Amino acid sequence: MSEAAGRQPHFVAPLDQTPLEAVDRLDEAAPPTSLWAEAWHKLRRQPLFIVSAILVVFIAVVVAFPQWFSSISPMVQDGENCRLANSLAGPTSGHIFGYDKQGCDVFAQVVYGARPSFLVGVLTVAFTLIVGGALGAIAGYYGRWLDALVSRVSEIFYAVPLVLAAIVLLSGFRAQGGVGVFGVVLVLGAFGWPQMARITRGAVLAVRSADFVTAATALGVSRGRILIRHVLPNAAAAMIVTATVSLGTYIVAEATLSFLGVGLPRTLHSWGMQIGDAKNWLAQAPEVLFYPAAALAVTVLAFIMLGDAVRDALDPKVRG
Amino acid sequence: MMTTHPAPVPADPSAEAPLLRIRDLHVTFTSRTSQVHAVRGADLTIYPGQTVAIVGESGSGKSTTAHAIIDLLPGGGKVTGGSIEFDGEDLTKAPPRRFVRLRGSQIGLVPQDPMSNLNPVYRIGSQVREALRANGIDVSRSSYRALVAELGEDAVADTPDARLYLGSAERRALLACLAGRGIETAAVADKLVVGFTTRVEVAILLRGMGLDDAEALAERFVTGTGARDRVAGLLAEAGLPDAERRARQFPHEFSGGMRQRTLIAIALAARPTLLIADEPTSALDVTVQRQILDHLGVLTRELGTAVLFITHDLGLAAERAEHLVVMYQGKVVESGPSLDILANPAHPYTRRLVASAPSLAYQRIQVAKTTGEDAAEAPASTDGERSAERPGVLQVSELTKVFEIRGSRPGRATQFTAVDDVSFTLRRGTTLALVGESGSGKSTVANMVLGLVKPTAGRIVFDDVDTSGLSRRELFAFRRRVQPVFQDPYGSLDPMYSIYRIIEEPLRTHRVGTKAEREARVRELLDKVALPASTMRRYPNELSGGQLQRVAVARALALNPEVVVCDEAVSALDVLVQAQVLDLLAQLQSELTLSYLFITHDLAVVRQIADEVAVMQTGRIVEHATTNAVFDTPQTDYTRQLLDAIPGGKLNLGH
Amino acid sequence: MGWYVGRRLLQAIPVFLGATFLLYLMVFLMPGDPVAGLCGDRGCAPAVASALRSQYHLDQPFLVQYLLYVKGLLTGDFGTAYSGRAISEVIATAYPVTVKLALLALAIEAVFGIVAGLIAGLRRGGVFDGTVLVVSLLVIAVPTFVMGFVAQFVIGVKLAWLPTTVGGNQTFTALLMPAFVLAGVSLAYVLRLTRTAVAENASADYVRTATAKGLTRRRVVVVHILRNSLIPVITFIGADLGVLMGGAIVTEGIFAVPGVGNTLYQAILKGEGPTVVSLVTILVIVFIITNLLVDVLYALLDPRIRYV
Repeated sequence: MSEAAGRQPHFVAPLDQTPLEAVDRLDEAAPPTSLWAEAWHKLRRQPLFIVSAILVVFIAVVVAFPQWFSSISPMVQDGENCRLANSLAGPTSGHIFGYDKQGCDVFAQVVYGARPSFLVGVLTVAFTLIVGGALGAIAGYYGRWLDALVSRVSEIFYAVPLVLAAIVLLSGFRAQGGVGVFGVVLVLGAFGWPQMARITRGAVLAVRSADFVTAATALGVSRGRILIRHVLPNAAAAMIVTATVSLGTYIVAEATLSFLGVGLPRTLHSWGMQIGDAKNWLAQAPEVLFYPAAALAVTVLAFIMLGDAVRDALDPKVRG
Repeated sequence: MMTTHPAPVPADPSAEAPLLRIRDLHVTFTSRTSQVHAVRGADLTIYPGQTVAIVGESGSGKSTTAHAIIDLLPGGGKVTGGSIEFDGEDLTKAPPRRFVRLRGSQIGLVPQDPMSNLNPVYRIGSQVREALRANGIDVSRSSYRALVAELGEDAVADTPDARLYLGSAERRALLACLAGRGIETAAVADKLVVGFTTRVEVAILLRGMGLDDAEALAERFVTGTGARDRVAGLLAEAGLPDAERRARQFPHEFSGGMRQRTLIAIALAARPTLLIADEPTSALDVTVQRQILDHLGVLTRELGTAVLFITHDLGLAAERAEHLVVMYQGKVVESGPSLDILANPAHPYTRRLVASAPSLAYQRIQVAKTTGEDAAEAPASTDGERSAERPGVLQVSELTKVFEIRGSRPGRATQFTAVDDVSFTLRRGTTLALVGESGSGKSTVANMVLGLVKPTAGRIVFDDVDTSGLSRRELFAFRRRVQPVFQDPYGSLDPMYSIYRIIEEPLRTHRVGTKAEREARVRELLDKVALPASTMRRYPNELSGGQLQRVAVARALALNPEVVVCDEAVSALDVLVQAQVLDLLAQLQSELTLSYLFITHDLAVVRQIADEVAVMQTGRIVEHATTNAVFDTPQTDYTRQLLDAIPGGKLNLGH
Repeated sequence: MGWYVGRRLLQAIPVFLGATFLLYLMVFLMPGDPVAGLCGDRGCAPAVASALRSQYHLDQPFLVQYLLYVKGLLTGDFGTAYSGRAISEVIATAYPVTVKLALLALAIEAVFGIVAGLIAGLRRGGVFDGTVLVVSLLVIAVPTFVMGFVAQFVIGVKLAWLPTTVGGNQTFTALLMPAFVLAGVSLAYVLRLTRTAVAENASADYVRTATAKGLTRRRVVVVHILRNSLIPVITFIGADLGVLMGGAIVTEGIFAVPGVGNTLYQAILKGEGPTVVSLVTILVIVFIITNLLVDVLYALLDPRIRYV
């Protein structure tokens, strides 16, 4: 030991180089930030988020006020909009996307086609959030037989593929000219909620065993109140991310149904239907298919990217 | 088992070159948004066979320094300055390929958390075998034998007998041979460890039994092992019982201590000259910690391995290493011989660390009584007097909790008695510490007292009322009077709530006061726990663990409770912060006449805070007395074991 | 292990019954008279119509119809299609094609998804990672039917590299393009899943320990990172077989593959209730069985599950 001491003497760093700070100092100057504020702070600097958010806002505006973008409404069936003489004609001034087989303005169709697609997506997600979210939360939080029941029922719905179930259900209404936006939302929601229920259940289960829930119980906070005030807000991040990403999936599902001719009625001119019509003239006029397809892809992409960005910002593992 | 190893001859240390010399090391972590300068000019020297400990709090850069040595810095980390000389070679300039060769065979690593450091999908044995194979260790010595066959025994300069291990089939044959001669083999069987006992040792063993042909027998039966046997031997060497069978199991079937032994076996498999032990036992129970560190100490001494020991525990470091390096905010503030540093800490940070180390403290925190206090209470009484005369506020009698454990198949459910016939009395204004290791049932007791878990049998009487018969409304009223503080400060506060809402929640839940009154109360509580009032606008993610724990204390005190249940309330905190919170708890107790039920695994902390101690083991209270009595005259072996395991407890610093 | 499988099997029974009931109910609720569909445009004589009704149990209450249907299912009798062909015969001709197509798609998504995901996950933030992520997002965003038409038009018609349709020519080359289109979205998900799992495992403690043992980078990647990352990925791929077979309805339509999707679509258009229910029921059974297999596979891949 003495030898060791000899070759490695007692060293003390000069105090001016290693100033001592108070134990556990609190930086009072920093502005307070909640988790959401912190996530927002991170999001604002992320190009992925900025691009996708601008896109989503833009699409929402198109959906709300299509007349701002196109003076021609394809909803009005008169000779003004569609002239067979223009069939598959290329772009002209004022009709930058050209014309489809019926000689209708493609740009106007693409602009007006945004509304049904967007509405189906948003409403279906709202449906799954309410139904799936509630059932998942109840199953995860109360557990026992409620959990078993909800899990089995959701497995049953999960076992039937979404688009397949929708085709079977909706095909019966073809004779009546389709079911409209709410019909499609109901059908997609009926088979889409199990996914949201699973995610919510998992998130609630994780939060339920957290110490702050136990602490709230020990404070005398009631079970229901804990679920609403503590558990759900903490599970919300996972639900929001799932909702944003699945919004894109539902828009694609609606397009697929319309494409197959079992979705929205023809009068709504949804993107899926436009693509379905244009596929027949792909060889002659591929751009007629391209525009609605691109609009659809950009919309879906915007939501998926938004979901990705939000996930990264909220992910506790990434969070410093 | 170890004693038969030939002890290495200690060379004259002054003549030796250092094994590792770190000079002015700088490490920086770069992420997209920020740069963190984690190590800012660290110096460190280790001589062959020496044990050096780096001591520091979390964030001091101690682990980063260690990881920089073998190029295992996590993503974004880079050595930005200085040199790391290992065996005369500057590692900061070494290519990745060089590190692959160094790791395992020259420098071994025993990581921190045994739970996450073994791959869950592979069997234990294969993970140890991997370490042998990766470093090209020829277990069966086939290349050596080939060489002998070619050149003859004499031409090959090697002493194979000390490195030739007993195989499992050979062991059976040898035992059968001995039994055939009518020799009682039971005693010798334990000493013949597969893959571990060498030919030389077998010869010595047999000679010791009075066999004339010991050498011949050893030569006949010990001819080398396969990898599987050697793996079992390495595990046995690390102190894993029944190693041959255990090697076939998966990590999740192992306890924390067994996993840590596996990790030690892996780190030492290729006989490195330097072993980096990064908080190797922090996650383990104290008694297990002691066993493993004792074992590691013996092993490395016998193998002549130098050890770089990373720890946050000054007492532990001083006990295990001859040389200490104290790090603070990325810099070495003091280094030198362990006892010298403990006895004469020179840097203010080291002094602070020595003063706060719970393992080195030796008496209860005495709150300085302020003037104007009741004269009858004024003289600071010793713990025995403090408690005995006071009335009980909480009586627990014959408390039992049996959990139903669902089996892997129906009808396989088993019953597990977590708490078994526990009785104690918590007296008003005093602290009762419930001490035990993991699985002792202490936290289950806490949860039953808090009314969070229903007891299977027994009574909990609070203020002369049996809590089992409470109605909903009475239970609600009871919750006002008994409040918890949990272990994990990050988990026990809702991350979505502001500090204000967190502390206000109990007031709001129990409909106390108007909005303005509640806000005034929150301010008052924050002041009580020594946090500025501006804290209330903040969120948990902005505060440190210690600050959060103080917020948790403020929340617990909001309703003026009589009993606070502290479930490992300071265990997750760094020593200095821990000392601060303990001081705060002691101060609040004397101010508000609080009674604490203090659940902990750490006897060192108990001495600082408790008046009475109840030691729990496997659901039962095995010893219950005043703190001084338990520490000075422990009555049971288990308590003595726990006391012995307090790191640094045996260091004589002339107190 | 045996008990684990047994429990899963028991749990699959209510799912099977529930899903078939749901399907039956959906078809039952379809508006329109199935007998009218049977008789074609000219209609049948009332006597013929009522005979048909009793042949298809249409005169029975709904629950009885369902129970008779399940009884038929359990004895391997799927009933008769309106065309007069036994539905089991329809199934026997349509399923092998779809299974072939789905397995090919599964192989494509597994190979390309895992390889690209592994590279992207190991070099997170790099050029390859960025490119692959953008492409995978595009693949998810562009609907399968658009992808199908574009591929058919460009690769099949313009470049003439691969046949445009399958039809009776069910060779590997003919199925290659539809399989790629079918696999597209799943491939993107496999890629993203692998990437996340690899990136997560790469920074796991046990990987650092493995590196500290002195293993080469290659061995660390293959033996530790990849092996552990495959657990969620293989689970996903396994469960995807049923999804792919269900999703074939669009792809098979585009490429004229005479499989389940096409047959199903025709049956739906004609309002052939019994055929629709039977075809989808088989899909559901395939889905339940693959999920069961995935659970077993999961237990085999992850020793922690086996003993729970």
